[in-house]
Amino acid sequence: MSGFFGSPAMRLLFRLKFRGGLRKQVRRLKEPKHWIFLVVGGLAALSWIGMLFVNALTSQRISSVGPDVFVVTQISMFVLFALTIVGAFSYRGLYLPKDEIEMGFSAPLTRSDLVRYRMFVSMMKSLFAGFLFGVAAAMRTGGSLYAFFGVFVGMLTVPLVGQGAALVLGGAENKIGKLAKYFPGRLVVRVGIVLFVLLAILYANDMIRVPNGVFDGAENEESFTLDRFAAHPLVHVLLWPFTPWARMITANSFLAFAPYFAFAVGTWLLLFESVARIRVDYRELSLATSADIAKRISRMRKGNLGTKGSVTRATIGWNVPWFFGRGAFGAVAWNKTAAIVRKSRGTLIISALIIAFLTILGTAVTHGTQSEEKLLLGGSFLLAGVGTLYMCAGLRFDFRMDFELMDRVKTWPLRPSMLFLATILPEVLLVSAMLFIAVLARALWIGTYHPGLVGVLAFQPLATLTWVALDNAVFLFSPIRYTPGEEGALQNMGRSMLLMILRGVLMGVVVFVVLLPAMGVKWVVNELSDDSMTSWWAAGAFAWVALLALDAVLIWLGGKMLRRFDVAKDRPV
Amino acid sequence: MPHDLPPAPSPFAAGVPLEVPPRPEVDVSPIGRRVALRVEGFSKTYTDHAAVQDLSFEVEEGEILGLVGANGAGKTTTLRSIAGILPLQAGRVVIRGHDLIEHELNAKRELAWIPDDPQPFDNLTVDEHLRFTAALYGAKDWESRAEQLLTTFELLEKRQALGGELSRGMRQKLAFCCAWLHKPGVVLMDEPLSGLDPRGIRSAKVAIRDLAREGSSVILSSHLLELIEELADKLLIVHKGRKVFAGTLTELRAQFSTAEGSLEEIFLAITEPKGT
Repeated sequence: MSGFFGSPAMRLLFRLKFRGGLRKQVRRLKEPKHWIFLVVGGLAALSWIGMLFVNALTSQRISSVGPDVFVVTQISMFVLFALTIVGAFSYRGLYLPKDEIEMGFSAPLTRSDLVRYRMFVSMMKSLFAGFLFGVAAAMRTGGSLYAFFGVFVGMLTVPLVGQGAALVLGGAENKIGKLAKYFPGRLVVRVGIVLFVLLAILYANDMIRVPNGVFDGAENEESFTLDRFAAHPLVHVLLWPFTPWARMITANSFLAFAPYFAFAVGTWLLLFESVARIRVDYRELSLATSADIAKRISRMRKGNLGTKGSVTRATIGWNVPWFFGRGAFGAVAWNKTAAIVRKSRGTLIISALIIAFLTILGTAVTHGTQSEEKLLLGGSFLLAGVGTLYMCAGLRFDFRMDFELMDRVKTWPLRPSMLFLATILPEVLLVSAMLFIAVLARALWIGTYHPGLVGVLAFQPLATLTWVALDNAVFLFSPIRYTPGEEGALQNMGRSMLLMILRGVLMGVVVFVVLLPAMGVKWVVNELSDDSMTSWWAAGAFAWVALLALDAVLIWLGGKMLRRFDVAKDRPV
Repeated sequence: MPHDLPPAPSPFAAGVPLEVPPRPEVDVSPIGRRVALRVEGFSKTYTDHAAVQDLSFEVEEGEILGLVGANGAGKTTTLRSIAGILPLQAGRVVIRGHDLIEHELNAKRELAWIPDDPQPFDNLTVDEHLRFTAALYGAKDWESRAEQLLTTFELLEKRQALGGELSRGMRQKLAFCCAWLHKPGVVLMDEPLSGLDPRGIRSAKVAIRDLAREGSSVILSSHLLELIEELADKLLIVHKGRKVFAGTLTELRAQFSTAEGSLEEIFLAITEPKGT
């Protein structure tokens, strides 16, 4: 067996990679734009951390740690560890990135060496989070330094727990077959979080009560306290293992802190060594896990985490119609439509359900609160606007989806502007159709009519086209995608912020260019005919034509950006 | 021969057990030459199909074995299992006298693996790759050999280039340099010449021959049958996971009753789908 710190060669690799990451950043800074990105990103990060500190400093400091704080700490540790263990279902075995996996498995390294190396890497990545949470905890509790070190050690223990769980689960899968593999870990976590948030909202709004007698002595809701909650036998059993961490974090004297800190450090050491010694042949699981994570990273780079990486046999049977003709334009649009239908059916259904839910909830809540006509117009406008932004953010069936195929896309025999339009049109029509149905269904439910509804329905597709075209043109202008965990986080944050501002400014220009002359038209028509309705119609028609013309300009601009796109340069980091 | 005994574990070698490594069993072929790699009854089954079934073969020291088969024949699965990337499901692999399961680290110390699409570390320079590889395999006095390899593969000017900046061919050349650095006893190559320019191909061919001349055994898996014909001393043809032939090209021609037929013609004939 190699020592506690694992293979010297892997330690060398860690040092070389760390130095290499820094070197890459320094090399990038030779270009002035990366300095700008770094400064903007750094300022944003500093302001965020500053806000965290100010918030912690201005919040009520806890002078003496009461039972509530202790229980909250226990619960927090429990939730953190539980989420980590359940999350391990998605990372069975040992995750190794593509440049380490074949090298690691074919080299003269023990499997324990590789586990030690990866745990070391994970802990190094947790240092910053540990520091931040530690400082925040220190500011909120009485014994600042104790809380800081307590939280810091706790945060460094989490990756070890996750790795241990992933190896144990991997061993179980090796022994009992695929049962562990098919346990829907991510789904359980998501459902759990949704249920927790739902219950919290309902409880906060007095829509549910804790039944009498559930908690010791709780005859009514006033007597429900956290310490009584923690005293419940089941809760007590669940939280008991986290008592030392809670005692360490909430300690208010060195004597109270030291034994628990020693225990936590000892546990950390024991856990590190124990996990490294788990005898599981994780090679095949790791190959599968690493391939799965590589696909997920690829989807994140496309900004399309919700879509599947591969097409299922069931969806291939779906006949996708050629909506846009059989020419080159129609072929590109058909390709995109087929990808949406076959690869993203789940995302589509979830988006449709959310829109339906918002429509029903929004209408039910506001029904009868104001005049039905106002309700119809305001709600439809809101639904179309928010729905467009939400769906366009969630359904990235555009150039992000084709990001890794751009060298092929660039060879297609179509004018860049037409290629640009053919790529974004299916998403625009899909979003518009869903919102059209939602707005119309809402109007039928309310059972009234307002002329403005025609305006909402007429403008919605053009507005969607404007936003998607603008968003894609900006994306093609600066397409490098970033995934969490890569180096250069600050620069990417700065770059993203600048691009967000650019999108906002361009959208503002579009709104200004459309609305200002339209208002002028309304004033002129009103002066000439003295009929308010006619002036509204005239202004609306003018704005519609102006927006259509602007969309044409944006598509032309998108084509320019597509022509400018350099596949040798504009690729993932 | 440089490989009579396994090298003493270097303090720099990764995961080296502190105890003295077991003495390798002396493995000799029927004609008296030392066997560098012996594979016995190797099988590998995935969830829905058997990738390799009961495959046995051996490679002698200094021999180049051409591994040939259609797509999905099980070549890469075989190589990855010998390299220790995939666990050995059934069968036995002995590398320079070290059993891959019982003495995994000693066996792997004798191995070098060159995948079809090498993935260097994005942020490490070419020099740093060599430094890390030397540490990993416990190679001593490696600098002069590294210099020589960089010259052979025309990477001298790229030694400060980052892995992420290298072209496909350059990545392949770097993989050769890393594989050659510790003078491995057995080298496994999966489509090693893909992505190389004509000069790179020439250098790689010469280097493979030189490596074999130094005593290393090479398993070369490739669809380039002319390359196999040119370099390989022996052939192993697999089809649908089973061995259909193992021997020299002369023996192959004799077995399939053709004196002049190229490897390509014979290969196509024996792997032709039934009924065509």
